[in-house]
Amino acid sequence: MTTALGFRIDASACIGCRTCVIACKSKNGLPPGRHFRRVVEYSGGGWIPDPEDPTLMAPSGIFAYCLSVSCMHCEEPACLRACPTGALRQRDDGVVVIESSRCAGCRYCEWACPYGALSYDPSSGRMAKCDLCIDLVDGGEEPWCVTACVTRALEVGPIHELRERYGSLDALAPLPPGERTRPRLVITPHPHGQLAGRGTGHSSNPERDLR
Amino acid sequence: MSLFHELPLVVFTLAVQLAVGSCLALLVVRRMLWAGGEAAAADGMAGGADRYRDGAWAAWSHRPLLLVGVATAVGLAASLLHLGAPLNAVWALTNLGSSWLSREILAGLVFFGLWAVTFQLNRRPAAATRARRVLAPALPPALALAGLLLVWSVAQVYMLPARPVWNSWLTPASFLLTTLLLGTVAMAAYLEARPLPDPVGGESAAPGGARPGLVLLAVGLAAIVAQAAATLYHPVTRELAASATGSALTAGRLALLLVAGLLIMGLLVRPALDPGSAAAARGRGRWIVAMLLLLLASEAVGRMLFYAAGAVDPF
Repeated sequence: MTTALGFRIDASACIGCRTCVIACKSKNGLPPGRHFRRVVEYSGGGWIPDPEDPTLMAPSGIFAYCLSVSCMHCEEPACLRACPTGALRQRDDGVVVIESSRCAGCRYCEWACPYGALSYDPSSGRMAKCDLCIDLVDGGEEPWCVTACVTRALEVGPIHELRERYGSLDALAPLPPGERTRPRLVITPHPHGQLAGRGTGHSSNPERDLR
Repeated sequence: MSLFHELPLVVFTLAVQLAVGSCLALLVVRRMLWAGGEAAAADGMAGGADRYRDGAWAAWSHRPLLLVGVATAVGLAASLLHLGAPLNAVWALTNLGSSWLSREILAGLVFFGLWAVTFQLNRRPAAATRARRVLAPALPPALALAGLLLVWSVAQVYMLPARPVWNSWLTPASFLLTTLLLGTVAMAAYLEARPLPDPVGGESAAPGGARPGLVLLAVGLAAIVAQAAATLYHPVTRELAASATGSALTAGRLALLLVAGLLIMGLLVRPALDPGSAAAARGRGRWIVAMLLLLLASEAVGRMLFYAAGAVDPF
């Protein structure tokens, strides 16, 4: 097996500008309402009466951070297990790709994926997803999301190298705990990052608000 | 909330559950009569088991079996409407090793195949070939078992860790309860419309005086009560509590179950009071059909809410 590839996201550097999302949509020609990558905003905390002056309110534990999320090209992909037709497969380099000619458009992979990485294409009646820009990566270039990131919060590379360099954190709220599908992801946490599955905040931009 | 988004799957799951439930109810009726027939034969009475192995049972069960086949066919056809690229469904059995969707489709095809054999053998019961003698007694239980496996695999499709709203033991439980309540009430309605010829002669009474229709209605009542409880505790109901439409429809569904349950209780009490003229039987038949429609409406609303609540953004 050749070296498996993965993403690293630096949540302490991400400013939530969504340039990665736009770059991805441009590369893949995705119309409004469809995306392979999205930026999840997670925020929480609240207000308490100011002890100095109870007529005023003071912030209490307020936090917000962003995570740029796409297909995690998991080591145990839930989509691949779910797909009835075998249209989804994993390349030797770990990239999960979809063989469109075999996809029946049942959307079961969409239900099974905990990252919301699969996107239904109504024009072809088939599913589509992030392929890690393998056309570029195979030629030694980087995926468009990585190239476009203005704060260098996204990185792609052999996952074992990324893990050696940045550690093994593979989940942060609101992402699901990593042990479910073992995502090929390394996260550099935001200082206010919260434990996956135990977060006290909420997503501030649910999918219905995305374009 | 998009209630009609997964309409093909609502039709598929309900039609298949009605079909399987009817098979289970048919098996219960058959078992009760069979026991009656054998007891009668042992007592040296006329008729006996043979009558039910052959003509009378076959003629009586023709229409219910037809319903089973039509419902399954409608369900399988509806499931194709869910697909974006239906022609690629030919590959749908290639991931049996890990995909519950593949297994569900296989279970559906096996069930439909077994139904076709059962139906064919049932059509000409007089021709007693060797294959028939071996197959005929084994087919109804085999069909019921294949049906249970089908309902089970349909439920397993929704047991996804990524969908906590579905991923609860209450999902298979409620699918099984839908199966039981639709099947028993549908067969009870048919029993009223066309009473069974009795092995011992006289009224359509199984041994011990328990009429199969009453047994079916009692099982249906238990399933309705359990289904109401399962609805209250299902994560789908909790998920929908915040939505005005969702909670109103959940309340409406529970009301339908309550009305159907009360109707059954009335029908279970009445035969004791009124032994039943032909007119009374017709009246009962109409009530049971009305109840079946109420239950179909209840389960359709429930299934639409199930899909609306589960197909949400993971973040």
